[in-house]
Amino acid sequence: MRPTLIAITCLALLAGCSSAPEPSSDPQVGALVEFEVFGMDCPGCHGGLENLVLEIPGVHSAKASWVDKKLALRVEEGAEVTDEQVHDAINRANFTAGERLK
Amino acid sequence: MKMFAFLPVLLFVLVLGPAAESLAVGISIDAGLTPPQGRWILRTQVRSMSRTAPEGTADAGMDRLMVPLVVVYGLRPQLTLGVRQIIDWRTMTMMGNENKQSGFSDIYVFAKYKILRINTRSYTLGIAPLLGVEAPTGSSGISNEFWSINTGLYFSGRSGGWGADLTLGYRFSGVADVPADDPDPGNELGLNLALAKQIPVGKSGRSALAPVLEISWKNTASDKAAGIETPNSGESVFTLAPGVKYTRGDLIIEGLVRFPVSQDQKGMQMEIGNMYLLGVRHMF
Repeated sequence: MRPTLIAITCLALLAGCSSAPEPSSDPQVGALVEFEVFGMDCPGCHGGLENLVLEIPGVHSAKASWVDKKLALRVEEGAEVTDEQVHDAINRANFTAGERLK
Repeated sequence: MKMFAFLPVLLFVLVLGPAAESLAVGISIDAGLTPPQGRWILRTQVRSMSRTAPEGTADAGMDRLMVPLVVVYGLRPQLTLGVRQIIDWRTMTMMGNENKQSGFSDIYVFAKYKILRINTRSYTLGIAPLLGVEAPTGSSGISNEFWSINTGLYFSGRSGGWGADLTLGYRFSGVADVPADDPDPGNELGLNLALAKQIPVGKSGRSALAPVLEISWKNTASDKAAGIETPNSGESVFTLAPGVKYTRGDLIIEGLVRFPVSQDQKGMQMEIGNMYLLGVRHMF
């Protein structure tokens, strides 16, 4: 009985954790930037890439898609985010950047 | 807020002594891919398995319930570190007598290093070797009471939603601290293949369902005492394990049933039965 209880508690605690945040649609946020990204193969790949892109100063939100092989990010009004910064984040996520789409 | 929600799990895992595995198409088979830098992966499973004496021999068996707790961290894009701790409950039956034991198994720490990762529009390939050490930290009666080293070479391929992970592993059992009265434990050679197809669920692309098939072969050499093989030790087992995995954002829920297709135990040993696994992974 005790092992089963511990196992169920453990599973329930992990299952209760929330998933990746959706990007905000704050109207004050600036340009939408999109890149092709290769190497994502399931929804579990999104979060790691999004976390690294969100570390770039000036990035307001980020959303990756393994289905579309794409990363979309919103840059804060007046902020400057270079392609190199985004490429570096994609590389650190162990993915490969393709063309810039927007 | 998210961290606070996660704190009980983190404390639970850390207090119990952490453990390891990462992003893979399989459920119990690891990948030749390393996770993003800064990525944490927490994983736990419930594994139920049994062994029984061959028909017509002794009335003996063993039931085992294991809960591995695994923490993996992407220290660098190339380097992944992990630690695993298993909570183990064993019930041995012999001629109608029952003997129960439970506790922590030996802690296992490992590192995986990316040596190849190719991402293209149509496919992904990855190769990563692994080095792990198992230390005799477990509870009395559960611990192996010796040190072991695991080495592995992992390969991964992905294309069009299909994925394959192939792992070749070799375990040097009992590299140090084998009790003086015990024989040297036999080393293990394992070959595992996991195949899966990711099927998107819904239009958002945030969820996917994946049927999984794992094919495994493991050979455990006989124990040796003074260079001579000890009887009733060593085995070779070939298993198949169909399963399913559901991914929603950073959460993965998975389950499989592993059954032996063929097995060959040397001498008089209990045979391996089915294993049932239910697990969950969370990444952040």
